Amino acid sequence: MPFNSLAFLALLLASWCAVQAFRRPAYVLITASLVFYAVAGPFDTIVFLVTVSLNWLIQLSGLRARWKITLAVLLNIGLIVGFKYKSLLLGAAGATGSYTDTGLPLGISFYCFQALAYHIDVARRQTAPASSFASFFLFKSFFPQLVAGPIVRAHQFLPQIERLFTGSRRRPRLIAFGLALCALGLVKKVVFADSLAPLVDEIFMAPPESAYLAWLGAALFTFQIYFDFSGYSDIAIGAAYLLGLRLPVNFLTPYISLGPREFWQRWHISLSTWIRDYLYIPLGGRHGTWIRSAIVLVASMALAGLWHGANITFIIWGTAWGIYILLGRLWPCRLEVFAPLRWLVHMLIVVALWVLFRSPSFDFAMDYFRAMLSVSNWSIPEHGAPAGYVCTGIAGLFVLHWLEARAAGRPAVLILRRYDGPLLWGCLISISLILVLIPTAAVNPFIYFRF
Amino acid sequence: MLALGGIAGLAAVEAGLKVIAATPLWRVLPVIEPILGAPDYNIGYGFTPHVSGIWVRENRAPLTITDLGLRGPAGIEVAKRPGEIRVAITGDSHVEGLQVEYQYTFTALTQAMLNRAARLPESVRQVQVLNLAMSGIGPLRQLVRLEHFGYSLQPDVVMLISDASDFLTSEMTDDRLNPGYVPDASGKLVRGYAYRNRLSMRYADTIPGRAFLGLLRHSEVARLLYLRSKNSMLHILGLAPAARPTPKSAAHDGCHQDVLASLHRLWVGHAPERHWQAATVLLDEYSAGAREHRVAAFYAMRNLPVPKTACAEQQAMRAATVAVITAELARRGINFIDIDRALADRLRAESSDDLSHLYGFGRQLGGGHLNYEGHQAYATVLSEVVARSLRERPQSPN
Repeated sequence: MPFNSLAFLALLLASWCAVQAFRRPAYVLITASLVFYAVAGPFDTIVFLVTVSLNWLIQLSGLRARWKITLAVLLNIGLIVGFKYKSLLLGAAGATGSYTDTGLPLGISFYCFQALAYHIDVARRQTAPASSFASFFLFKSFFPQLVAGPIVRAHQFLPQIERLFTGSRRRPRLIAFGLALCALGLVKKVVFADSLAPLVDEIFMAPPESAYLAWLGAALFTFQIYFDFSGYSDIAIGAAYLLGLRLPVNFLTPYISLGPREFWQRWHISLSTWIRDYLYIPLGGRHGTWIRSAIVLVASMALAGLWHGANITFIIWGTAWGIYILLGRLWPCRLEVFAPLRWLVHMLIVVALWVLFRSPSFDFAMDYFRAMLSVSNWSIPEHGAPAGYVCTGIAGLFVLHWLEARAAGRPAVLILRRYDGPLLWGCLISISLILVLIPTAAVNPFIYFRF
Repeated sequence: MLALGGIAGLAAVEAGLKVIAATPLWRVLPVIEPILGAPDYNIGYGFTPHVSGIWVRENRAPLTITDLGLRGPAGIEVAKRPGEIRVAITGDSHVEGLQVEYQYTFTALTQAMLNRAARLPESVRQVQVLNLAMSGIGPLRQLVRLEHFGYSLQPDVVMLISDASDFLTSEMTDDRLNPGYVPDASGKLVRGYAYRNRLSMRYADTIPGRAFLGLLRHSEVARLLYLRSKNSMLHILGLAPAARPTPKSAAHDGCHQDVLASLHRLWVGHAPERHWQAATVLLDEYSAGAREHRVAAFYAMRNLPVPKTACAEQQAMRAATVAVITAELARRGINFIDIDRALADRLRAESSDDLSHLYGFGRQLGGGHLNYEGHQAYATVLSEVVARSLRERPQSPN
């Protein structure tokens, strides 16, 4: 069930009404989450139910912590490998003959990573285990974050879930905040991401012939993926807030970052912290020799890339980011006077790296990079928009991003608190309703729903 | 207060959509397609003059319906000036060409080519090519539009352009949505107007009807809600399966057996009988109207596919079909234009399959409506035909 749909808004409204009406709305939210996920189809639903049940059984087992974690890794990573990487592995192994390529269950990467983190946190005694199967199920299945995160941590989220069963939950006090986040997310997705998608798809149909088109496509995809994913996260966080739960922030305007480390502190924060806490640090982090820490860093980022999909381009994308972060450590530049230049160079690298993420194959990416570097060819398509409009548009997107960084957070919360009331609620609700009805040329699922 | 807030939100979205439509942002951000017309007593649906907007399907292009209710060109007066030659072209969405700006449609390009042509008669000072096309209208509706509107513009040449398969659909024989040929008491096919009993037709000219149409014309949100309401409930809820992009030319043997066989059956075998009767009545009426108004009449047929050279049987079938069509039209004083053959010859393509690059945009290249290159190709072919006709015609009082 896409977030930018009338069905989702109706489900959210029904859930909100039930949460207000019932002192212990946990089972209502479980039902809503099942309805939400069931739209994906019986196969996806069954895989999800089995995964949750098996993870619960691991917790119930009387095994020692180390064996529980081993089983959890085998189960959750095994599921991801089995569904996501089977084709890649069999192809790499040169396996011949036919085999059935099963579809990727919706959100499997997210809920398996979340489950694995849960078991590790419980084993480390960083959080108490879920008190019942129902609370564990709701922790896993809570619909705003089920299919594309944020990847929630048990110590943050489980206590909130438990309160839904005991009736001692905190009700949201700033309804306008939740509604505003949902509306903002829909604007990002419907107005921007879905508008940029056809242009990006057209440019990426084949490696462009001119550097102009190549850079344009990369720049547009840079914003498409940001608006798509951060828009989804905004809706998820806003919806959860309205239902009385707090999800962690997942994006902090990453394109104002000045370097690679800062970028990953602002982009898909729940994934980068997961990689840091469950992969990078356990593998040694910055301890040991410089070479060792460099290998750990690059390997962690490569695996982060691999998480996104079964394609060599994702692995190279992650590896490239690892190397870039490493270079950022080796040659840090702290002089503020160079900040605009640092930002420009950093953004050019970010934009170029997104080409790897978007390209269907490594060869395509290489041809695309060749086009980007063919500085002698800046031909503009005959019937396309004038270059002046295009440059203004791209600049405008960066300005919007900067404005978002300035306005989001405390200034916005103060304004929402001041005007919180039925007038503002009605305004935000009608904006959201109209936005989900805006037709698009083609259905563009949220990009991260595919992971 | 909640309702007031809702209205404020609607107003905000309305303002936002209007700003997008009025600025270069229309090239990228969401716009709501205009509703170009309203129920029409004569042909079921007609253009509303001065309507403008951005077309967003397949390709984005600004469009305006002229003050005369034409796709284009703008600034045409009803009365012709001395030395002015008018070519009236009707057709469906392929001729209407909403996917490109008017100056790139083949009608506009044909006009430009004809006015640059060196070998026109000296008496011809200017050629105007009028685009009377409308989406979805088949041969009968084109004829009705010509009779009720096109001839009043005093054309010298008229051209109907339709899909060859239009003669095989029920559009010409079903009068529930638009004029259609229906049998009278004696079994003879006459024009039926059952569509005039539709709710939209009966109330279009009332105050509430005009208010509703005005709201659709001027309000982006109203138009959005109206267009959405035409979808299925699953689509409205956002639960419909993801639409697949229009596929490029489906892989096949290039012989176009099915299409050619059905067209051969109609034109040579005169079957299905009802469709054949409708086709002959249409051509008779077209011919009569052209004679009455003393215009040179053309009928251009597209999607009469040219099979690959290796498909001998289909080549023969096509040749026989084209021969019959040419004869039937010539018997009635109508000139036949075999568009697919003309394009294939012009572009040195072996078959219609090699012409797919003239259709579609971006990811949908190969399918859909004429793209910029396609309009250019059509204009090249049609301008030659019209120029030849103008050179050969007697100097008429028109």
